[in-house]
Amino acid sequence: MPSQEVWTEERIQVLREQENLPFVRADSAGIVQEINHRFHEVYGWSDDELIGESLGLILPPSFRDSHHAGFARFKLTEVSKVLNHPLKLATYCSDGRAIDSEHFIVAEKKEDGSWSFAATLRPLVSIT
Amino acid sequence: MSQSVNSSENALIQQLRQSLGMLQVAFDAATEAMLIIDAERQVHWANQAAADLLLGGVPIQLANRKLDELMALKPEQVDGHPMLALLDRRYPLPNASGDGRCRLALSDGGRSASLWLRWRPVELIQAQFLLLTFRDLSPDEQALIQQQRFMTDLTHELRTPLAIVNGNLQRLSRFKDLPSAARSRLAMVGEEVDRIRRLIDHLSLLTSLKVDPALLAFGEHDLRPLLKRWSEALDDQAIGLDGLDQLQSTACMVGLDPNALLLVLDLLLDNALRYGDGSHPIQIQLRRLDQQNCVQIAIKNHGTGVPVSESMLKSWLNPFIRGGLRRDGRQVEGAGLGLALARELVMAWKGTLALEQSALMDGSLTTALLTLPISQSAGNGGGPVDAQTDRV
Repeated sequence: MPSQEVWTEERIQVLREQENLPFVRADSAGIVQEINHRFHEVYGWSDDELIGESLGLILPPSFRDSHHAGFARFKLTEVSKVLNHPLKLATYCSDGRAIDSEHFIVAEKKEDGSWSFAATLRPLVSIT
Repeated sequence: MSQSVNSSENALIQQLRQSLGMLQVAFDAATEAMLIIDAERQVHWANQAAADLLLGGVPIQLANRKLDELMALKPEQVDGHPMLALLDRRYPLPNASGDGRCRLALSDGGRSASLWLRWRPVELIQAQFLLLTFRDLSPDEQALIQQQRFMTDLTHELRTPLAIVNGNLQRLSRFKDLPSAARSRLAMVGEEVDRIRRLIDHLSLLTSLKVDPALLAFGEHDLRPLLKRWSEALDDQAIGLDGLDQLQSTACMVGLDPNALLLVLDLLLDNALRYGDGSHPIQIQLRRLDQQNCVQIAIKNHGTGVPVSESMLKSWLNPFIRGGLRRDGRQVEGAGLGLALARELVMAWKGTLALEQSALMDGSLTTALLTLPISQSAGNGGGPVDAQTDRV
C-alpha cells in the first residue's frame, strides 16, 4: 500500500522546492494540475502545453500504454509499486527528446476519497 | 448538446479506464511472466510477474527495452534453436506457437530457476508481435523430485523380496515330482512376479523421466541400423522387419537415445501382441515423410472388439489405463504403464506417439503410430518418399 500518511501539502511544498527539482502534480484522473519552473527549464513544457493534459504526455509514446494500464489499475486497487521510491524512467520533452530521469512519485488520498499525485524528477543527464 | 456529448465521452473514458484497470489487475495477478515483443525484440507490454522476473521492478520499466539487454535464454531441451531465434533480431518472429524448457541469464548476472517458455504470435493490423510467457517450474519440480525419491525408495524395497520370491519359485519348479496342477500354479505365480518386476522397472523409469528427461543418452543416430538390430533380436518371436533396405538407401538421422528406442519398440510390440487377436500377424510399417521431415513407425494389430472412442484411445497413453485384455491363460497382463512410458520417451526426442483405430469386418485394427523428426544433418539424404515395409 502507498504510505498515504507521509504525503501532505507541506511535503509537497518541500518537494517543490527540494534541490530545485522539476515537479509535477496531477489529479485523480491523471490530469496535470501544476508544474514548477524547473520543470519548464528541464523538459521544455509550458503551462499552456501541459496543464489540463494527461500525465502520459510527459512519457515517451511507447511507455503510455503501460502508464495508462498502471494508472487504471491503481484506481481500482489503490496499490502500486511505483510510489514512494525512486524509479528510473524516460521523460518526454516538449521537443520530442527523451531524458532518463529518476522519478519519485507520491500519492495522497483526500477526505472525499479522491487521489492526487505528485512527483519530483531528477534528470540523470547533465542539464544546465 | 455539447455538454451532453462531453458527459457521454467522460462516461466512456471512465468505463474504458475501469476495463483497462481490471485487465491489468488480472494480468498482474498471474504468476506467469508475460511479455509482448515486436520484431525488433523490443518489449511493448509486460505484466508485474515479468517485471519481477527480469528486473525486480515495475512493468513500465520494461517498456521499449530490448529483450536481449534484459536476459539471455538458456534452452534446457534437445533442440534449442527455435527458442534462441526468439531473441535474435536477424530472424523474423515465428509465425507458429511453440514452447520449451529454459533458464534465463539475467542482466544483473543472476540466473533464473527452470522455466517453461511458451510463445504465441499476436497478429495485429499494423504489425506482428509475439506473446511470451514464462512459468516457474520449481514447485512442480520439487513435487516431482519428492515423488521420484519416494519411488526410488519403494522400488529398492520391493526388488529385494521380489528376487527372493523369484529364486524360491525357480527352486520349486525344479522339483521333479510336482503334480501338474502345482506346476501350472507355480508358472502363473512366476508370471505375476514377472509382471510386478516389469511394473517396478517401468514406474521407476517413468518417474525419472518426468524429473529429468536429460537422463537419456541423446545423440544423432541413423535409424536403419537401429531398426535392423531390433528386428534381428525379434527372431525368437518369429517377428521380423522385412524389407528394411527398401526404406531408403541413404542415412535417416534421428535424434534419440538408441537403447531407449529399442525399449519403446519393445513396449509397442508387446502391447500389440497382448491386445492382438492372435490369429492375425502384427504389421510393422516404416515410412519416411520427407515433406513433413519425419519418419513414422506404425505397429498394427487386429483386435476382436469394435473400435473405442477417440478419448478412450488417448487415455490408453496415460499410466495405469488398460484396454480390454484378452486373457487366455498364456499371457501376462500388462501393468498399464508401457504406452505411458513409451510416450514419455518419445516426447523427450520431440517425437509423438498416437493411437489410431479403424473398424474391420471381423473386429478392429489398432495402430500405434510413432513419429520422429528427422535431423537436418549432412548425413541425411532424400531417400524414396513413403518407402514402406510390412512384416509379418
